[in-house]
Amino acid sequence: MQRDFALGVIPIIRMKGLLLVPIQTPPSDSQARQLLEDLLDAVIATGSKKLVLDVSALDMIDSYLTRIFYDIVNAAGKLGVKAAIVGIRPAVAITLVQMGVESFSVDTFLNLDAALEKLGA
Amino acid sequence: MEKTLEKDLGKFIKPLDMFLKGTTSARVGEVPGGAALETLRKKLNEVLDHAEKDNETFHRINMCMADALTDWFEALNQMKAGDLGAHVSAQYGDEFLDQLGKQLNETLSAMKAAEEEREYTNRRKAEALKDWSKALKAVMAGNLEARVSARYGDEFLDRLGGQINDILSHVERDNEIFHRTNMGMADALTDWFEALNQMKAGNLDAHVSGEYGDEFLDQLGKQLNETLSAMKAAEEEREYTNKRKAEALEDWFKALKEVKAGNLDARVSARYEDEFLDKLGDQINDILATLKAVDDERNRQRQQLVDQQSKLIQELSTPIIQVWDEILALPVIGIVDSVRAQEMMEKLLERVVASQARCVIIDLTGVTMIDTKTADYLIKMVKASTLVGSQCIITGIGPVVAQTITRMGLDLQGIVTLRDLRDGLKRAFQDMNLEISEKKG
Repeated sequence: MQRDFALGVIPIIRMKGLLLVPIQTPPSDSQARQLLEDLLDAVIATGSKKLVLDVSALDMIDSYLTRIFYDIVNAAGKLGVKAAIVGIRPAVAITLVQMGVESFSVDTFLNLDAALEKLGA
Repeated sequence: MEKTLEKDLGKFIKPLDMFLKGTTSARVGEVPGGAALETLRKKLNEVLDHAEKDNETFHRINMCMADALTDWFEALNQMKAGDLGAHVSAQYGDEFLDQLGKQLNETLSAMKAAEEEREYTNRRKAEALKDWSKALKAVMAGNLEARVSARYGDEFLDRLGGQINDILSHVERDNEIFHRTNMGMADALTDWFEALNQMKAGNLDAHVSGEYGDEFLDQLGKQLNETLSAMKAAEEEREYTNKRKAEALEDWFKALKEVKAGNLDARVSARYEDEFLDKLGDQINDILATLKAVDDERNRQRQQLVDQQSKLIQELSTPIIQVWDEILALPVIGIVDSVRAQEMMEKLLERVVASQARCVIIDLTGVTMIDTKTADYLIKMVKASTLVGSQCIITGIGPVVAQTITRMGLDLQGIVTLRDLRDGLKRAFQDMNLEISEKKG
């Protein structure tokens, strides 16, 4: 694993044509925005075709972060990158559903294996 | 007329009589009774001496002498008879005899004065006695103000009179005191009797006047009043105590009534202004508090039991079964209310993530009735499951549930619905690229 881009707090791990983003702590709004920029730079720089956001450490995803996720997926899609989110916690899922968020217009998976399986590693 | 005077005069008269009769040696003997008489005797004897010596002279003198003597005899007789104004003429034609006559007159006057003096004194005594007698009579009759005049023209009598008046004043005062005391005592006794009667009759405010015009009685009266006040206070205290008891009992009765009616928070006030009653009230409150605690505990236990039972029932009615690796089945049985539905949702998702089940089959075959909230939860459960990364398949939707979902306008788009659990399982295998085949051989 190489951590090629670490401009922000959130690491972006490059592995086998895949970008893995483990979000360990709840990012602030600016950090989230930074992530979006970093990711796009990384996609361009690495030419990766797959992107996985790991939110298994987050016990809350607020509306701003939800928005960022949407933007990441859209932007990545435009760049021809298939994205996936893994590890949404039960409580977070319930909250999101109650908020009316049904998806991030991206597939969500229980774990990385399932994601890679679908994304075609 | 004094006997002595008579006697004295006799001593003069006899010798003169004898001389006149011829006994020229007759002379006046000793005459006690004062200087005047003595002088008269001496002089008369001198005359008789001279008369004896000189007949002529004597004769002449005899004539005057006879006049004088007659006069003097007359006067004395008169005085004896009681005429104190009797006196001699003292005009006998003889200087010597005239002078003697004058002296006799002085004596007679002195005797008169003395006699009058005596009479005067006697009269005053009599007056005084009469006066005193009158005063005492008046006092005895009840007029204690009666007094003697003490003005009798006699120092001694006046003094006696004064003393008598002192005595009478004393008597009057004593009698007043006695009288007053008697009256005061009677008043006091009547007053006290009256007061006690009133108190007996129930008038606790009865009191005595304490004003009987006698210091001692007044003091007694005041003491009696203090006693009556103390009695009143004690009586009121008793009444007050009885009243508080009644209040306390009323309070306790009321509280127990409430408790019986179901309000276990009811308490007594325990504020009856009586230490003993307050203590009892506190004890009663302790009992009630204990009662409540016991009741609460029993309720809690019962509730716990109920909760356990309902939980058990819940678990029995919505068990989450791991039917295959990464496949969970949730057969819902009975009536699902919204609370249960929410619990179900949470439990299922936890289980999905924990077991990393990629497929969940929710079987509603056993659901007889579903309300809108529950239907809503069901849909949410599916969506949340999908978010988490597990595919949800709903099986066994019956007509009732179908109607509810339709009525609600719920969109089941994207949700796989199949007829029963078996079909759901088959589909799950399919989606996971799993195949069941017979064992060869």
